[in-house]
Amino acid sequence: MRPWRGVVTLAAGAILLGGCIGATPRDDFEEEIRSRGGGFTESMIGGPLEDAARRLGTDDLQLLMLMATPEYAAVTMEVRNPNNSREVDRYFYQGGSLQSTEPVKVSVRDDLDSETIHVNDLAVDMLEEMTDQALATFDTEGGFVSSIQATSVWGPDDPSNMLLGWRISLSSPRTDAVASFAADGEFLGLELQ
Amino acid sequence: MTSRLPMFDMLPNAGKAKLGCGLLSSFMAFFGLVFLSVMTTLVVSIGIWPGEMKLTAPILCPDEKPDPYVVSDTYSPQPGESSTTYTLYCVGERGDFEDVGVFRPMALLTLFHAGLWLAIPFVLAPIAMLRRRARQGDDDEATVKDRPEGDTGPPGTSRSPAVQRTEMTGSQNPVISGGVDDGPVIGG
Repeated sequence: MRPWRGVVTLAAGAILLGGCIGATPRDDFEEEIRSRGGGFTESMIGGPLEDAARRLGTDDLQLLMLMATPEYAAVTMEVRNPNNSREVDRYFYQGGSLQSTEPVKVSVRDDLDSETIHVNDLAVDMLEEMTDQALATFDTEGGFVSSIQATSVWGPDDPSNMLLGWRISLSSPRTDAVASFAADGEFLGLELQ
Repeated sequence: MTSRLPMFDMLPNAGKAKLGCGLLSSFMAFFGLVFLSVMTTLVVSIGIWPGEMKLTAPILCPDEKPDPYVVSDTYSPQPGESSTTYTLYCVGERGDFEDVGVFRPMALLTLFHAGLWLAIPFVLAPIAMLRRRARQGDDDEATVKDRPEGDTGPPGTSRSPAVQRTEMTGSQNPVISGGVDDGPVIGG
């Protein structure tokens, strides 16, 4: 067999397989991310919180809303301006970088102080442990963290008492669930949807 | 007319021509190499083997996200048409990922391909030299086999027995009968 025949065979094979070798379709990649737990890390929320605090020049960052979607490496937060507490802006981060900011309309009837989340009260450094515990409790094949939200949750002793905490939404091909944690990372419960 | 480079003016005309020619050759060689490397990257990394971008992971991926994935997105800009883009992602143990994009991997691969093209002469030249030597050795060996026993002359000077045989004619004039490579027969 002449050497050039090998080269032609190789070239023909390369053209036939062209564009296929080593690439992963988007759907398969997302499946891989979910199989690893959804992609949440502490820095996904910690980084944007530090960045927002630095931009506003405050050590006491005050939020009305904080939500992370690990699958898209996205974090959205509504931040109160420390210099004008009735001025609220929505910050959108993706991949750790600030993508956009936009003003949020606030009604004169809104009691912002009662809705405010003080970031210093949140155990952000416990979030990875919390998500691991939530997934272990969920214990469902293909389970992953779909979103994390800092919000009011039911108190453990007095269910009528709302307190600041974390809601971790879990998903799987067959069922969804929500795990609740106190602000300091204490596990409060898992509710199947 | 004087140039802005005093050293250039000091050169004789022949030297200037040589220098100009050398600069032009280097310039063309450089852009030829750049063109070749870019084309290689486009054909190999986009057309045939997009996974080649994973080779850049040790440089572009952070330690906590070491697993590279080249993700393909296929769009249909118009009915009947499809367009595919590739993006390199670095993935961590927990599924956290970083979008590296396509430009940085491609730039690194272009450098890599340029290095390969530069290395080819250094690889091929010794191989060609070895093959030439081996072929020469075979030729010499074949020549030695054809020699009669006791012939110790340098290769290529050996004559076949037919050449060495001297025939005496009736007039006692020597006649040397020709061998294969000896051209016309000398004789009376």
